[in-house]
Amino acid sequence: MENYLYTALFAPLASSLFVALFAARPKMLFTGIVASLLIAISMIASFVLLIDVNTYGPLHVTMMDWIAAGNLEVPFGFVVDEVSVIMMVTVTLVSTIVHIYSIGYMDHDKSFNRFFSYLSAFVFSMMILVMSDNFVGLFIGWEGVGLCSWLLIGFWYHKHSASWAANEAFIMNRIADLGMLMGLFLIYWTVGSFQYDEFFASVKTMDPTILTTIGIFLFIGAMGKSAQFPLHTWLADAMEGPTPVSALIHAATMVTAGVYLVIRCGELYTLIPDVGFAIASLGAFVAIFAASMALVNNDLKRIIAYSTLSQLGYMFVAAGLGAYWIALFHLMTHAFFKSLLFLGAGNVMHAMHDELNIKKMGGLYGSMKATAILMSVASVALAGIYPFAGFFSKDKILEVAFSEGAYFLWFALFIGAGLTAFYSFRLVMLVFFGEKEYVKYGIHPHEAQPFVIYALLPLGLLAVVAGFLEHTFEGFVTRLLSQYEIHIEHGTETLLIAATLGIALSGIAFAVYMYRRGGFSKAWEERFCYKLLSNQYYIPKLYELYIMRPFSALANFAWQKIDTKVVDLTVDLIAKMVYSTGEKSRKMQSGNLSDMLRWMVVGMVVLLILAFVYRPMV
Amino acid sequence: MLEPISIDVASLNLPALLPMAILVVGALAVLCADLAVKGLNRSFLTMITVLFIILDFGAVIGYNGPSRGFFDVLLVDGIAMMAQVIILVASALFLPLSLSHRHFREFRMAELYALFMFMIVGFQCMVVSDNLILIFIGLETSSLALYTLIAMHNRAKAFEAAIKYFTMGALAAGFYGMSALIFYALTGSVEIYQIEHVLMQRQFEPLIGVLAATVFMLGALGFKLSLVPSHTWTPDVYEGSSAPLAGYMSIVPKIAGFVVAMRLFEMLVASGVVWVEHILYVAVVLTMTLANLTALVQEDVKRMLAFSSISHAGFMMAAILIGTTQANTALFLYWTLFMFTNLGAFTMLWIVRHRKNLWDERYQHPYTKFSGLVKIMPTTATIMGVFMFSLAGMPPFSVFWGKLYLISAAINSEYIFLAVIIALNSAIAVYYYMKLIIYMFLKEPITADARLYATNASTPLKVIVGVAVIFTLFAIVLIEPLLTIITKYVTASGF
Amino acid sequence: MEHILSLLVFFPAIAALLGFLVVKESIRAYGISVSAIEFLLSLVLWIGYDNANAGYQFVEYYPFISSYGMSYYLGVDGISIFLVILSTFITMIAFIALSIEKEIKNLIISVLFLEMTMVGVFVILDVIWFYAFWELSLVPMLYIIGAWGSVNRMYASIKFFLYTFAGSVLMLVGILYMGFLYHEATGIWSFSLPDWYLLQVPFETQLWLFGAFFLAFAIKVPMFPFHTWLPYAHGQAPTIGSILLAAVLLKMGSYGFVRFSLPLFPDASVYFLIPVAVICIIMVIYAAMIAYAQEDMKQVIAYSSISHMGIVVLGTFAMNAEGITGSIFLMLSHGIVSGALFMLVGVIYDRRHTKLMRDFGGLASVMPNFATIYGIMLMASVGLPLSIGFVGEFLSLAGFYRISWIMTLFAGTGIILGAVYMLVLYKKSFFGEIVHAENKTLKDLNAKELTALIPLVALVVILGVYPKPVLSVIDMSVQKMLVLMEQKAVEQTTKELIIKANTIGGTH
Repeated sequence: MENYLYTALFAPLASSLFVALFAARPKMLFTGIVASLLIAISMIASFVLLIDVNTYGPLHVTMMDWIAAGNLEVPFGFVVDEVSVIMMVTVTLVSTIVHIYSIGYMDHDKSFNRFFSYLSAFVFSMMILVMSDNFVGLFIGWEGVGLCSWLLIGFWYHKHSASWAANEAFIMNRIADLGMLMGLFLIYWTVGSFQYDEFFASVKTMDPTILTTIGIFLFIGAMGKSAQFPLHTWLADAMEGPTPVSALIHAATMVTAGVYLVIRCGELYTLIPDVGFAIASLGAFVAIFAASMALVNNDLKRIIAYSTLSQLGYMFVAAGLGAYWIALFHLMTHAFFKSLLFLGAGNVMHAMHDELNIKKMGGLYGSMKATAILMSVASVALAGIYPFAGFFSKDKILEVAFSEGAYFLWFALFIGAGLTAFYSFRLVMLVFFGEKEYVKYGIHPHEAQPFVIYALLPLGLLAVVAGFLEHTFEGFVTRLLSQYEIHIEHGTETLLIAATLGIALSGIAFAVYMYRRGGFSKAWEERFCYKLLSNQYYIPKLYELYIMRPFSALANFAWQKIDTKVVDLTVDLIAKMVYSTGEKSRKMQSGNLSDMLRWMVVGMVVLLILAFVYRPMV
Repeated sequence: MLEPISIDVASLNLPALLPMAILVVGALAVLCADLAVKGLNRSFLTMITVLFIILDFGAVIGYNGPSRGFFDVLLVDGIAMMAQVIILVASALFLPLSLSHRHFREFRMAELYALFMFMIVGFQCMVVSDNLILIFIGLETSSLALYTLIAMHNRAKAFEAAIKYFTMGALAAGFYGMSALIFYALTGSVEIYQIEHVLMQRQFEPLIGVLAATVFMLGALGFKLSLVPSHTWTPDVYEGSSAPLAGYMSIVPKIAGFVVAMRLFEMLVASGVVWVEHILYVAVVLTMTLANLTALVQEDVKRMLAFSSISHAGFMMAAILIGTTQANTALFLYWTLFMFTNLGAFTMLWIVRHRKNLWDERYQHPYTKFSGLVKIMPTTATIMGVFMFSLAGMPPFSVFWGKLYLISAAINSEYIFLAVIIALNSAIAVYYYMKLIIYMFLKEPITADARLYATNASTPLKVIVGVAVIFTLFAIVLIEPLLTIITKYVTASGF
Repeated sequence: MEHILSLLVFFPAIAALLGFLVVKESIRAYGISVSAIEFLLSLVLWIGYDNANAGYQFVEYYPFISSYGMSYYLGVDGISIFLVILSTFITMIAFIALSIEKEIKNLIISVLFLEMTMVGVFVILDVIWFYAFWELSLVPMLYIIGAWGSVNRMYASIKFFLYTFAGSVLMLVGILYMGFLYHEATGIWSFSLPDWYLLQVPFETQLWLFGAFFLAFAIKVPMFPFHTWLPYAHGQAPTIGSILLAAVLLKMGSYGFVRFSLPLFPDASVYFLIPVAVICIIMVIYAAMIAYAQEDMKQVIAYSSISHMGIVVLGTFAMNAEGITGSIFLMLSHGIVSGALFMLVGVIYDRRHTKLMRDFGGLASVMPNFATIYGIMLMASVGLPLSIGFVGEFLSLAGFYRISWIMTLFAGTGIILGAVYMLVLYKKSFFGEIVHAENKTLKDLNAKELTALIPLVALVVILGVYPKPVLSVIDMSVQKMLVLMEQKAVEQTTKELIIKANTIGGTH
């Protein structure tokens, strides 16, 4: 079975390296195909492993030593257990589809080859992240995906905005990574090892304050990758990257790494419920906070990005409240329908010649039915309508919140569900139905190539049926993850479900109703709340004003004032001082004979006087 | 009724006088020869003189009689031996610099060589005696000869230098006389060892008298050793006199002076006259530091070397102040190594000497003269660089080892502060030595004409430079033997 | 294998002397081959090195001023061996990449002399000789910066020379005092380090001696506030000068801490631990900010060196195997990475004769290979896992975490700020549209530059993925040293701290 493991892990690397050979060359179709094939192989291997784990249980291999110094030892070790295999399957599945999709999407891009090299590299890093059996290994993947996301967001590096967004993403993540590193160090000095098993074996006996600290540090790391408030701004800007990237990295996989970390450390977080609750609250806040921003945005991709953000919030609520398997389940289903949504959006963008403003679209249904249907399916799933995937996972999360007695969180999520439904369908309506705005701009939209559509079908299918896997899924992952009992009597439960469905449906209905009638009046856009939302609560501006500008000002000050004007000047002054004393002492050297004699005599006289006045004990 | 005084000649131990006698004879011989044969070539005169010096050397080395001699005014002890060796070697190495490519009037005159030998005799007298009067005679003989030699260079500056040197020398002689007089008044003797003896008995009472004597002696020797504030003559005199003589002055008169200083001051310091120790301390620190600082701002290499030799003399006084065996050993070691480096440096100046001041109307060897020398004469530049680094105390060149040993001598006798001062001074000093290197290696040349630089070069000079370079570069292998010999002699003579 | 160390030290010097006889046209080839041979010699050294032995190997001992305890004493252990290899390797690479034509003969000869001093510093065990090599290394560098540098080269070279020289004279006093103490204690003179290791120095004295050595090392590293010579030196030095300066010369200082300060004065090292750590943190943050403010690409990297050396010294003072091993590894990685970065700057400078970032932009499209290698080095410099930069940084910080978590947090901001200035640099110069016409026609890396750079890239990846062979060797000697420190410490608190720093668990 190890061979499958290594295949799953290294096929993407092989793909990346192979394609990299042609990175500088003009487009070569086969690079895309080879890459897709290798990723597909990795996917197949993952599925085999899934079955294997299901039958024989987890698989744990240690490939080789990596770092060793003092007591510290970190191997390259990989574990395929119920959790990681689920992640592997999800990641490789989505990746494969995205790869195939990209062959079509990047068709006209001159850096076609380079793109696939990066994309496969990302998959490799992601696989390391989920498969590692120790925290440092996880950190490798953690940074690796960061690097790839930097490369891919800034893929069109000639665009200033793109490279700016790339750097923003990388730096924001770095901030969080520092927190994570601190967590790792603390783990090391407490346990003496970074291995998951050794760590979790000893958490029971650990001093709670240390546990709490570790929990907080690790979660800070998670906040960066999963773009939780206040580190969320990079995700929306990351939409500068090519759409397949947004689908794979910024919707399905990388951004969920934070959630994965929390799930992975479930045994830790169950021991520190306060931290868990804090996580949940933050999650709930982000869920509604992000959703609210999605309401008014007109940028096709940003809307979806915000919805991703809010869905991550949902996952964190579940994870924070200890319902790890539910979090993981939502992670999976979300991966399917959200990537589908993005890829659909990609088709739309192509059709609209990279126009992103949904106000300029409308009525696209006519020209691109398939995409329209797929995206609607995805939106329904996102909105959480029975029997689509989203319903099962998301509704569970609300129930968890309720049964934990966290009614406030529940309410937030409840509202969030409504908002989700609304903005999803606002998008669908504005893009596919209503007036054909694009005509004004002389655009002739066309459906994507058929193979692209076919590539999307599996996702569409999963978006519909994945929900029904709920119980098998639960049974499978709870072998590793802690069971979670929802204690709500049946009556209330049905009531809740009904309520949730109700608000979701009404959200949809409201959206459809409004945008049938041409949407809201312009007057709205003058309102403060509208401005607030459309400017993302002015947070990017705040960062600009109160962090970036002061930083560069301070940096300049440090350089031009402190370093050159103080530190360096002092050094030079000392030198100058010595030199100028020389200049002074030179005056003694008049070359005038009588002066010279005088000096001698003066010296003598001084000494003689000294002989009288100064008499230390003999 | 007076008894006729009868002395057993054997008790005079005349062999002790032999070395000096040889040179006196040599000097007279040269003069006579000059009278007999007109226009003797300088090469002949030089070589004859060198031969006499060698004979003298042999006599010094070969001497193995009792340390006292000639009415006990002579004291041929270890340090006397070593000092003489240094004096003679230095003389033998510096004199051949007369055989430069261009002819100078003074070197055609036999008197120069005679005076040179008389001067050496004078220095030897200074070091082989602990009798203040004999020392005085030696001092004056050498000084008078030296004044004349300087003047013989026959340039306006040379005369100026001679006059300055002479006048200040006269003052110094006065001081010396005063000091000797007071010592005699206090102790009824002019023999240092007896002075010491008597003073010891009386616990240095009356102290004021002792101090006064010391002060005057300090003034007198301070002039010879160019201690601050009696150092002012040094740069002018060096600048005025020819490079070989300047180099010679930076070595030989000083070592003679050091020996006298050792005999006198170490006696006082060792016997716990704290005042003297403090005064010396101040003088040492002042000399090192002030000279270094002034050297920083010099525009002329020769003047810079003058100041550098002052600060080196300061280091040596530090050794005398410390006064332990290691310190005295360090003194001789340092001076031997310093001798070779300075010999080299001044010879280089002698080689690049040009009739006219092409580069600066005021100075003969301004720094600018050497700009970009590495591009014109790489070897010359490199050799000069080696000497500069050596003077700067850059390991592993010769002077570094002397400095190393000196500093450790300071530390080992708990003079930590002094050690730090010395270290800091060498840090300051490195700048002005490096300045020349900067000019030679980093600046662009002003002229590409190599001939302007080699005007005075000749085989003998090149040979001497070669010797100096070898000793400077490979000093590292000399340290061990030198140390053993020096330590042996120093301990033998109870210092 | 008897005298391989002497050979390593003096081969370049002899080659340099013979180099005077080589004609100008073929001197470059001569330099490359000599340095290549030297590099091979150092590899032979590694092959012959016994990984199981933590002590000094290939020892050569000849007393030469026995009356004063000086000797010619060579030996390598895990702490020094890789620094030796680094020196020879970087010298070779620098020669390969050399693009200077003017006075090339003098340049190559002086670089060979420099190589002698570099290797000498790392393998010599007699302290006087160490001082000799230490000081001697300044001379060729003075010449290299001063003669081949750019406009302001005089000032830069003089500053470099005087500052470093002045810093080390007090070390000489310290050395001699140490010798005196040894003589007091044992009655014999000795200046050999292994002998000194056995000497217990009284606490008060340790403080003074630590100070005397610290100044010399701190200026060399360079540590805040003694760092200001570095930007000038780098700003003015020719590419080869910067490479050697950043890759090797700075390491002499940090090596000095490991070799001298810690084992000789354990109590003082512990006593001054916090102040030193504070300085390191200042270095990390302050230098990183200044690097961000720079407009000159080379200055960014110069200041980034200061920032990274902050982590190196911090790791050294972690007083545990993790930290010290890490910091030594970080010395190596910084040597390779910064060397490569300076080389890359040199590449673009040769083409455009400017180092200002605003003159570039969009280079990625005209010089893809250049951009790629630059990117790799950049990622190594910000310490991306699986690159050489991560291992050392991770270990150093991990080690120091044991001493103080909050300080580690501050020092850790280096990984953020490092990313900030490096990515900004990359964005300004490589991304965006090409605005300057002259950039449109730039040639990508040529064969010569690739031959120089590809080995560096390979090392960055290989040692990033599999650092263990290097780490384990270093680690052994470091642990030996720590045991020594613990034994000879005179204060109980010191012993406790060292033990605590090296044990897992317990209080934080």
